Amino acid sequence: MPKQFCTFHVGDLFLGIEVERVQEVIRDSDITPVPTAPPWVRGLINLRGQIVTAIDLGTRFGKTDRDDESSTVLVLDVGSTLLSFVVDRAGDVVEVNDESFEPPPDTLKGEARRLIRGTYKLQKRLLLVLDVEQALEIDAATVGDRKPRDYPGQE
Amino acid sequence: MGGMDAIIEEFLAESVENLDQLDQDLVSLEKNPSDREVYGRIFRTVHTIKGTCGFLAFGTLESVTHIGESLLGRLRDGEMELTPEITTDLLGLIDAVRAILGNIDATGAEGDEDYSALVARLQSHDDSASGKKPKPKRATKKSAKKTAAPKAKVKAKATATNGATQATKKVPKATPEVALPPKTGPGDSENENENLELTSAPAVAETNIRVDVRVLDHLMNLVGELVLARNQLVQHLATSPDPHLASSSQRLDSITSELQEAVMRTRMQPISSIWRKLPRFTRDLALRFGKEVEFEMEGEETDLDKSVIEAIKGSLLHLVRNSVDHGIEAPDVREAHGKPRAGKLRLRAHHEGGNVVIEVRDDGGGLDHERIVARAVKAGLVSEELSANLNHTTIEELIFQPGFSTASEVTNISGRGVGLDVVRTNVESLGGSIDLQSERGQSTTFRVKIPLTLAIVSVLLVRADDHRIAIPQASVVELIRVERDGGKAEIEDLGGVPVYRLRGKLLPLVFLDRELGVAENYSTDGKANIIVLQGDDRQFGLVVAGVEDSQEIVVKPLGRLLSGLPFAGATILGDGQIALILDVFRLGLAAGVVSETRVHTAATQISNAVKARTKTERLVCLQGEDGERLAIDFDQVSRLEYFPRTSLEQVGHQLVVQYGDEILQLIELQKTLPERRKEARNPSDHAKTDTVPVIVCTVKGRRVGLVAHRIADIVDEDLKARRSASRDGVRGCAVIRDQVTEILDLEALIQLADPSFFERPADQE
Repeated sequence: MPKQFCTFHVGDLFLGIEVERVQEVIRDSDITPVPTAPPWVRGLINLRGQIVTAIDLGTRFGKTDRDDESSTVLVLDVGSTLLSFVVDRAGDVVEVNDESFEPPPDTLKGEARRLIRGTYKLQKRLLLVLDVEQALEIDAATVGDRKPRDYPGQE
Repeated sequence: MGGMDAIIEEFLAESVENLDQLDQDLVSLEKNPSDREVYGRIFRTVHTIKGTCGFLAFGTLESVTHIGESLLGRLRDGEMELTPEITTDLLGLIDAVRAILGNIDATGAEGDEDYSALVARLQSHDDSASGKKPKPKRATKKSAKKTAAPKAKVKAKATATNGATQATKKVPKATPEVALPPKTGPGDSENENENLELTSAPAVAETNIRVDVRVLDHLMNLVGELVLARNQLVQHLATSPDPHLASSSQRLDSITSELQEAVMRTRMQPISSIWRKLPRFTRDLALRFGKEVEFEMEGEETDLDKSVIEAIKGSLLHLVRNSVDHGIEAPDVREAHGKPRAGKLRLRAHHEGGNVVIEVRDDGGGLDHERIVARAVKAGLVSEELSANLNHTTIEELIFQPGFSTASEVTNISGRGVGLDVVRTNVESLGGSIDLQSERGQSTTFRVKIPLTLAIVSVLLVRADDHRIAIPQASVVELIRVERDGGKAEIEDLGGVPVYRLRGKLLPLVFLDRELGVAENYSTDGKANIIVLQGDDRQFGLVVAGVEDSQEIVVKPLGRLLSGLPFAGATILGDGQIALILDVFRLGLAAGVVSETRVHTAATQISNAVKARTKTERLVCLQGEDGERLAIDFDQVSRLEYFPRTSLEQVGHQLVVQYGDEILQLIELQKTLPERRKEARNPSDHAKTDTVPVIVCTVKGRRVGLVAHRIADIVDEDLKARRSASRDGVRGCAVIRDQVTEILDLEALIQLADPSFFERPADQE
């Protein structure tokens, strides 16, 4: 059965999320930074009255070659709340076949390996499937303690 | 199958709602047992449940409701009279039905509980009624004595079946009103009953629909957005030359405002939605404690936000429980005091500004100050010495202290060690406050004040670099504008900690920009703003670059990912921008100006709590030997101590006492203050008591003890009526508690007693 993926770019990575998980793509979103927040939080956006946290996927992947100024976000409905990923650039929606699915390549290292569920071979290039749950599974041990200050009561 | 589920769901929702009404009806019937309409309503409800569950094949439920229906039918038709025993069992029936419905809701099945004992009891009531069918006809004009006969019969029967309920004995005591015969003849209105049944059918249900709260929240969000869009549009069109466009925009403006208000109202619920349960709750409590309680409610229609209602529910139950348990006395005690046997518990709600005030008042014995103090001392909340000198406010504060409610008094219901402190914490977390008024022997009133809605909070907007931060107004004590550097160094450095001297007290400072790790971006005029904040029980100053505005905002939660930060939430401002809401306590904690473990003594906690709510000066009042009144600023007092007279030593011309590791220099007020009368004092007067009260003060980092004749009181006074000093060592005079009181000037006093005190190094003694 063919599947549709919403694609996007972060640094040199070509990534995709199942299209039904993406609620909308917003270019030029107004992101309000949050002081004291960990670096992978770019800030908050006002989505029609709802406040949505914007997670910087570039930082999440430890990418240095990404577009720092990008304000393109993918809004995802993750169960009870909305979350958004800041990406360098949104791509097209592509259709893939299950047969072309493969586990993540060995060349992927570090954090990226944990965040990629597998790949689909497209005609010209590889599409990496983002593991949304892993990308949201953030704890101090994996990201490193880069907060300016430890706030008590933090779990 | 899906259709079946929907039917069951509807059945559950409807039944649960009806059961709440039933509780209330049964309790009101006890008061007024002749209300046919109420009987009819109860009967109908039980009948409906029985009918539906027969159809849905819930056997247990059917058997329980069947006997209940039969009994209620007799009651309605006046074939028998309602006795407390029957009421108790009928309430038991409702509980059983509720439990079964709960099981059905959770598991889809009725559960395995055995209700045969209850059924047997109900059956016995039913049987006893059928045995004396013609009786009620004659009961019409008989006195209360007469009606005691059928009651006795019921009791005997019930005991025979299964030992009956233990409560049986208490019941007549608790609610004697029910023993009165019905005012109208029981048998004379059967036709009327039928009519009532037809006419008073549920008309209310048709004008109501159930709506998921989430739908309302969503609506609220959308309206918020609409308001923003309206604002932008109106601003844009204000300059438009087209008159049609301008008038349309005006219309849009007013309609949007109205819509916003209407949507806000949909979230409002009358407070009766939680009060409805209280009459039954009170009745059960009264039975259990052997008290007689009349329950009154006023202002049931007062509207509150749904979320506030949910949040306040537990606290309200606790206050009612507290009043029945601790407030209202046992009937015999009340009678001995010349009060009616039945205590009165009154709930009152009304709007007051943007708040709702809920009062829980009982006409019980009031607060017993001696007992409270004794218990506080036992619990270690105040020291024995201090306890003798507490004033009323302070004592009443004590019952809100954590650890005051002790487990030594465990009853079934209250006294589990969870006390009024929890209630206060809960109320304060909603942005409200609680206080109490008590008159010894007369009444106790708890007054809870809570904001109408949790969603809207009043905040102060401040700037840190280009971030806008909202600070809840509830935490803001005052605003100060100071020179940042410049000539006077108003901000001092105390061992690496920046402080500000606020009316003689050191206020630790926190710099918002440094805490948030953003650029320091102060205005060029060298001024800074200090916002004095109340973080838990400590105050601290927050230095901010700019203060913008005070606003009412809608609080939106931050997601799980940002839960550890010093922000309590976020909000969307009028211009569509997001502002973060500061969590004052957490910021203070991180900056080290508020401590997590509350190590302070209860005394300072209380004083702070009192201070936070009263803008008065707090003074320790002393009595001189001649009966004159003296007072000293509480802030200068470290401790109140009592020393044995024998432990005082004269060293040279100084009087000292061993105090911990140090030697405390003492100043005798009588000797030091300039004499006002001619005759010399009789020194033997002075040696009467075995212990000497000493007020330990700290002046310029050094301790000194003041020897007084007696420590009279600790008071909070508004010292407006103040006169200048009449003698040295005194700062001024004021009228405190109707007595002229001299307020001591500590430094001047020390100068008088020992001119070289401040010149000597501290460790010389």
